[in-house]
Amino acid sequence: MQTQMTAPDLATIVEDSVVTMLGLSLGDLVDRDETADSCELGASVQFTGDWEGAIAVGCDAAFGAELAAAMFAMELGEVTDGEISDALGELANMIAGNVKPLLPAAASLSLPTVFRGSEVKLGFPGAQVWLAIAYQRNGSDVFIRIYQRAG
Amino acid sequence: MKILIVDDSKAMRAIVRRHVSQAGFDSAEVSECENGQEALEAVRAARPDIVLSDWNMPVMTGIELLESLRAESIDVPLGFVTSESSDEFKERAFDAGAAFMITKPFTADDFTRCLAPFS
Repeated sequence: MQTQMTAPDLATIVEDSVVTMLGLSLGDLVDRDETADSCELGASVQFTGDWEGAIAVGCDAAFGAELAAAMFAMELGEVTDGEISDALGELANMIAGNVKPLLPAAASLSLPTVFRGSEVKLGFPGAQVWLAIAYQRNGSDVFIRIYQRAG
Repeated sequence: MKILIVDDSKAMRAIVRRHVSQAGFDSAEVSECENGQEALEAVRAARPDIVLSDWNMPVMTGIELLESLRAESIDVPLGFVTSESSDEFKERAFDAGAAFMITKPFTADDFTRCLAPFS
């Protein structure tokens, strides 16, 4: 089992899911220190087992709608909040499934959880950011963070 | 050809349905279920030619669905379409009798290749 996953590994997984499979643009990969700390939409999947943590995807409502429109093959204005939540949860699930074999130890995946609000703060009690990447598109951020829970 | 798609995500069911069509199965009769339990009942009621199932789902997982089908001697081919990509999961799937595994994210070519033997 690989012991050190890198940010480029994570970027490849994210881009395979969003750009290659769905044909969406993610914008420019940026230094995560320059990215927002909160978002309008977030989705997470927990890792449990020998390696404990979570993966979270955060974005604005506009990206959520684009993602849902691409997944459902619908017009942008037609997608519902439920479809946006479903799409973002599935994206988090897809990324988590591909991250899992690259974690330092075995883990199982939870089902995805989606949250929304005006300023959603991503974070998990007792966990720290283990790996993070972010993209800037249309003046907003799409960020993907892997958190590790303290053992 | 009757295809049953099983996934708790409506978005993923839509994507799989589209990729199946793009893979040349646009005339297939496609139906959908949200979890393994629903799928088990659907297979008992109207035997599809193939089941395309997610792995992680509430109520009944995909592997539990496959094991339940085989326990009832229902030998409908079942292929997984899942984000689970580790060797451990592949081994468990094939040991249980899975026909193939397509890992998310996927392309229409993956469906063309895996569904060809069943066309």
